[in-house]
Amino acid sequence: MKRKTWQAPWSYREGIVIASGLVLIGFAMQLTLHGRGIQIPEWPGNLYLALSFSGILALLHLFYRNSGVVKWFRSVPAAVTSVALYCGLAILMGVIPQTKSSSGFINAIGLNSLTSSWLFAQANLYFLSCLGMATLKRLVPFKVKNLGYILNHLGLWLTLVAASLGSSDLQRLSMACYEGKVEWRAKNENGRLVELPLAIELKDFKLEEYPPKITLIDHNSGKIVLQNKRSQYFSLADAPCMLGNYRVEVEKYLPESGYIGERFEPVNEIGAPPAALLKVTDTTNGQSSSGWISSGSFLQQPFAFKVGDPYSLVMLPPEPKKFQSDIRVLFPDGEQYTTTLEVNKPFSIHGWKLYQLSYDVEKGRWSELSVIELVRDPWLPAVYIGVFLLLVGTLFLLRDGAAIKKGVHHDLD
Amino acid sequence: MTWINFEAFTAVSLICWLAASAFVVIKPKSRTTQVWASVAAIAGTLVLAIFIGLLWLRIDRPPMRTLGETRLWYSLLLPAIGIASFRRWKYNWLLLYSLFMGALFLLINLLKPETHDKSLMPALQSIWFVPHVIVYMFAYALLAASSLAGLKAIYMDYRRKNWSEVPDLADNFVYLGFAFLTMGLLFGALWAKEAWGHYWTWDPKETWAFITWTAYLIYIHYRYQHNDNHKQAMWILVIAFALLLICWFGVNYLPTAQNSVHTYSS
Ligand code: HEM
Repeated sequence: MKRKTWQAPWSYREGIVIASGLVLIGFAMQLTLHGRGIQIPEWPGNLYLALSFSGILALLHLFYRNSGVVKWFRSVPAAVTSVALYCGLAILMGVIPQTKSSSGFINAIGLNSLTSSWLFAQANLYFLSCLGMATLKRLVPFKVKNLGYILNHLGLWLTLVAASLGSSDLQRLSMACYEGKVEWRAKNENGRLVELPLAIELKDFKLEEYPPKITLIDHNSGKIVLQNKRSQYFSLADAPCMLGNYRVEVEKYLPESGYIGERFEPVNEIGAPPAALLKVTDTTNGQSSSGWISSGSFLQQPFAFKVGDPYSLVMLPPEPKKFQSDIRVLFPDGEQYTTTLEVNKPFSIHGWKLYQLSYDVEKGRWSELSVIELVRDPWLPAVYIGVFLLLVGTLFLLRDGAAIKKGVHHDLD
Repeated sequence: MTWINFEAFTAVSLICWLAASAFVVIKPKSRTTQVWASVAAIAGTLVLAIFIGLLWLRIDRPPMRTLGETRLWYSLLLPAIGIASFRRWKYNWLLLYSLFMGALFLLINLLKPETHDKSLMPALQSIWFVPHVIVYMFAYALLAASSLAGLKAIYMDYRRKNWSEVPDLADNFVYLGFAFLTMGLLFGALWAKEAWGHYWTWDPKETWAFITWTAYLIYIHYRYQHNDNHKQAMWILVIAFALLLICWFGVNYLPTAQNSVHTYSS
């Protein structure tokens, strides 16, 4: 049975032609607009777009359900080819760095900023039209046995529509807060300063560190000796330990120290680094010696212990375990909240979400700067509803597995 | 910490799970041993559930705060999912795999009761960490199995043998694996929102996870229509797995890698 291209019902051949057409049109648009991508309108424009898009899909489904084009949109070949187009674009994105490219051609057709390119927008629109029609196919009229299908397809559709149209309302700002100061300006993603309807006072920035690690280096080359070995480093907390042929014991550990004369003493000052007095035994000849090491800090030099040519023991700068900011959030009407921000523990207030982003890494524990990220994403609830539907949908996949009936056994339109 | 009688509970759970595994290994084909295996596996899981309940009462808060505590939940949930799927699909390896993973997590807790001593960067210290990684491990294992089935089908076709049974097996793996892959992707997004402020940034690792996901989506839908035309479908499976491997190991070597927040080596 031979079918001419474009003779109904369309199949993979037409699907590929449509996808290639979208690619060509997308590149052409990008070129004629000199690399300017597409801008999604902000609220409420994007809401109107979302409503009209859903409305058009619903009307097509209700009143033109037997037209060839509508049948095409809800067909499996359209699903496969539109997903493949999306997949192809993602591969381009996964291979070409999405930053300004040295190749003028790549810049011109938008391959280095795909998510805001015409091609991506068109592929997205086409994909979401297919998915939308596929959803409606089994959503109206509703049947309980289609529940899993509906959860998966509607969930994905809602997630992607809300995420892509909502992206224009997303605000991500970073605010540099200094201890004891009140700040109400923050930088947006383009580096421009924006004034906010709220202010943040950083009361205290705290950073906890892991116990420092020690390792053996070759002091001529500066390289770590036991590179790629499992016991390359040792945490001071795990001493005594073996590094190469050396057995290392900790005789004294000072979390904050100062170098005085030939030794370290406990001090309580800004920039006072950890130091340890080690007893090192060379297991090849049984000789042992003692010496100090220190990681140094932004104010003090590191201090190594020569254990024999060309080896030295050094202390690595302690790694951060946890950092947090005690803050007060202030609003113009006098409302205020005190809270503690920590990585992975954001704080939500009046549509804003506050995140602990970073600090002055050079100063580490003594940083007086805390960078706080402020995020506003009014479309998030819609995205999360979609994600929730999808998650419930996966349970249906687990339940049904390959028991899902294949299309050949019943009619496929 | 209240790990006091943890050893005893763990021992009972492990013995039950070991017995369950022994049943299906020794007499894999028999329906009665499968029933006995389920009973033993359920008993072990219940003991663990009781322990978690007691711990909860004891510390007067949900035991979900530390990594050790999350692992405890995993030791409970994995076998639970495994047993449920096993009851439904009767695949012995599913039971074995989930019990093994559950036992592994229990053992880690036994050896390292309170673990933060391995430095973990703050962004990774999240309750999402374990679920996200675990469902991905599950998904990858299942999808790897589906690709093996696919390769087997292609090979048998080449040797002109009858391979009509193989694709259904592959389908089973793909549906289960895809469900876990979707969960992993979504958990990752929810976590990213908590840790980095946005759920999706087209970071290279995210992009490749998405690519892998769409590849299996293509397989599912292609197969839905082409139930008889297996061969192309088997090739889709093989390609999808190649993409998965790029996502898993290869991302660090791509030109886009320097922009990734997910490459943890420095
Ligand atoms: C979360 C993602 C998705 C999952 C888990 C999923 C799963 C499924 C499953 C299991 C089926 C078999 C039908 C059944 O359940 O009985 C199916 C059918 C179908 N899917 Fe999807 N799908 C997803 C995304 C998509 C997308 C993105 C599209 C379109 C662009 C699509 C279009 C279709 C179509 C057209 C059918 C055939 C429906 C029919 O003939 O009645 N799906 N899908």
